[in-house]
Order: sequence, then C-alpha cells, then structure tokens
Amino acid sequence: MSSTSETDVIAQHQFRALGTYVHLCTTGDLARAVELASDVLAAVDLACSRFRADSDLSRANARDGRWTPVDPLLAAAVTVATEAARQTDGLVNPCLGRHLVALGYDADLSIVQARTDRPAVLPASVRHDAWQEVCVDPAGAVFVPHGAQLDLGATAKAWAADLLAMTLTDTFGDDVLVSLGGDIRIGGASSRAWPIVITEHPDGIGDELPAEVITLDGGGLATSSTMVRRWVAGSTVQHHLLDPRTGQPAQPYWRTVTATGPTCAAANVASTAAIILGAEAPKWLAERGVDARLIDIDGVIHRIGRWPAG
Amino acid sequence: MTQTLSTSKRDFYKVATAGITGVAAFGTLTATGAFAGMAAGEHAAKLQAATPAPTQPVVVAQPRPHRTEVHTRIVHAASTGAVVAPAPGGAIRANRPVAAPQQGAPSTRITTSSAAPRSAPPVAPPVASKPRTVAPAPTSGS
Repeated sequence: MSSTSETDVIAQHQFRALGTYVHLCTTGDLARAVELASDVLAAVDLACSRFRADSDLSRANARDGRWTPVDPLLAAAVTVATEAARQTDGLVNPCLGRHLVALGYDADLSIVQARTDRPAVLPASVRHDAWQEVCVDPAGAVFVPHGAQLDLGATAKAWAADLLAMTLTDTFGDDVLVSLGGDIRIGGASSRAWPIVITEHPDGIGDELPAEVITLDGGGLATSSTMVRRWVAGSTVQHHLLDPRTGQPAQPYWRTVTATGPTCAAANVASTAAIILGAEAPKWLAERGVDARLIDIDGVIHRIGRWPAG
Repeated sequence: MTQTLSTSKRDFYKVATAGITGVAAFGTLTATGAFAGMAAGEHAAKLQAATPAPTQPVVVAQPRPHRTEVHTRIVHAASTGAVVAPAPGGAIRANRPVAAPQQGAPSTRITTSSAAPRSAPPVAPPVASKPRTVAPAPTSGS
C-alpha cells in the first residue's frame, strides 16, 4: 500500500439512489465519479429492485419455479445473497420476499410508512430452507424456488457499495469511500484512514446515544438496526430484519449492530446475522474475527474484537 | 408481453446511457454487455417455460451492441463466495482530534458539494492554507 500524498484533496457529494442516500468521497474528479456512480446504481436498481415492476428481480419473482433470463448484475446479486445464506446457515436469507410483502413491506418504505394500519397475514408455511433451491447461471439466469420470492434487501445494498467502490477505483485509480445508506466500502491503494460517524438513525436524528466517530483504513463497514425501516401492520410495529426461522421480525435483543469486514457485503452479513442471532451474536462474531459494536435494547454498548473504546 | 416491453426499455436505456457517459473509458471486451442479456430474454423464456426443473438453464448468448457501466471482471470479483464471508476487516481506531499539521506532514483538504458537481476546472483551485478535517462518512441503521 502506498502512503497518501502530501496534500490530498478529498471531494465528497451526497445524492440519492436505491431508495437511500449515497455518500461518495474521492481523491479524484468528483464530477466524473458521481456520474459513473449514478449509472452503476441505476443499473443495479433496474436489476435488483423489488419495488419496480420492470426490474429483473420482479420478473424472476413472478416466474417462481422456472428459470428466468436476467441481467448478469442480478445473477451476481443473487449469488451473493445465496452465499450469505450459506455462510450464516440461512440466517441471512434471500427467500423472505413473500413474508415482507405479507407484513406490509411491498413498496418503497416511504409509501409503506404513510399507510394507515393494515393486517399482517403471514404465509401459511415458512420455508426457511428454500434458499438452498435458488440457482444462478452467472451468464444471466436465475431460478426462484416455487412458492418463494427473493428479497435482496439484506445484501444487495452492501454488495452495490462494493461494486461501486471497486468500479470507481478500477476506472479512475483514485481512493474512494462509498456509503450507500450507511453500508460503507473503502477502495484504493493507499492506507488512508477514513473517518466514519456511527449513529442509529440517519444524521443521528432521534438517537439516544451520542454519535461515535472511528477511522477505518480498508474493507467495509455496515450497520443494521431494528430502529429504522419500521412500519405499522397488524397493529404492531414491524421492522425489516426478519428471522427466517419464524418469518417474523427478529426478536428485540440488539437494536443496532455495526460490523466491519473485508468487504461491505461481509460486514453487512455479519451485522444482519448478529441482529437475528440475539444473545448468541457476540460469540458468533468473535469466532469469525469480526470487529463489531452492538447496542442492546437497553442502550448498552458492547464492543467485540478490536472495536475501540468510545 | 411485459418481458418484451421490459427488454425494449432496458436496451433503450443502456444504449442511451452508454452514449451519454462515453463508454470509451472502459475496456473493450470486458464489459457486462458481453454477457447474454435481456436481448435473449424472450426466446430463452419460451425455451425454459417448458423445463421447470432447476436443471442447467438454457440461455441464448448474444452479445449486446453496447456496453454497460460495470466491467464483467469487477462483477465477478465482487460476487464470489469469499467476499461474503464474515471475517476481519480493515484497521479500526477511535477517531482522535486532528492536531495542527507539522511542516511537511501529510495533510488533507476536503471539498463538499450538495449540488451535483461539475467537471473540474482546467486550473486547480488554490489549496487552502490550513487543511480541514475530513468530514466523517455516515453509517446508520439500515
């Protein structure tokens, strides 16, 4: 790794894509980086969005039980999602789309949250192992198991952060940091330590705890929380992190988990799995060498691995 | 027929995007467009509709007449099983207050843009005499 130059200029810009904010920092030309980022994320959205009728994912979900030719981007995203399930014994599960729809999360979150209460009717059966039947041809085809619907919410955004950071670095050779709604990937040849502020809500608005600022010099970082992406259905506050063993939102144990990893996807798999694992999460994370910061439902912070004291 | 419409829109979008972004900056044979894509969708869908079992898919490979924004090799590199496995990441440290830079020490200047940035001017703006701290990137619950 090379060291940083004597005077580095870092430019940054925020814009929206994939239904969330994009925070882009680069040592290179910001305009061309933003332009390329917008194009890459538009392609990802068109391939992977569950809320677009014209997306490849929507077509594949409508053809469950059959192979569907898709953009190779979706094939790659599904590969990552199924691999995440394999790494977590199905805890981070891409086959919960039908459950999320049943719980009311069937459109962009702003639309879902604007609705008045509606019943939450879960599917009669929970096939938590259906992910094992998902098949992918990386050249551009996906097989969705019969009766299942893919939802890539647990992995696609983090994977897109990886994809974007790698694309920017490969194309322009600059140091970059990409944050897609808080899923962060660092790219570039230098060992630059990027400052990152950790909050439970966007911009820390509504947080009980003070923001924590750390630096990270490579790889990825992701934060998963049951405090965001919440809505009311069945007279109950629902959140988007489902436990595949029950098909219901994960039981409250951790409310926010931030984890690092060699990539953003790996970090996000770790943080999501930790939310679902509950009390078992610290041991699970430590066994994998993951550095993490967990906030339990009482607001107590737990630090795992090399996570620095606040 | 939805698929036909989707395919049409997809190709129109990507052709238009390729024209706007100037894909000359990207590799020649490594672009995603070399994959079989939606152009083959309708024909392949008819073939596969008769074979519901998850056997080897029948995909008609046709090169696209355009290139998309993501290199094939990057898509592959970002999508292997190894990149998903939870494991140690980069070095993480508590952020310390930035001390005044010493003579000759590396420094950082940051510029922030809330509006869409324009291309850099031909002459770089003067460097600020006192470097500022890099604004931290946000991560919050998602």
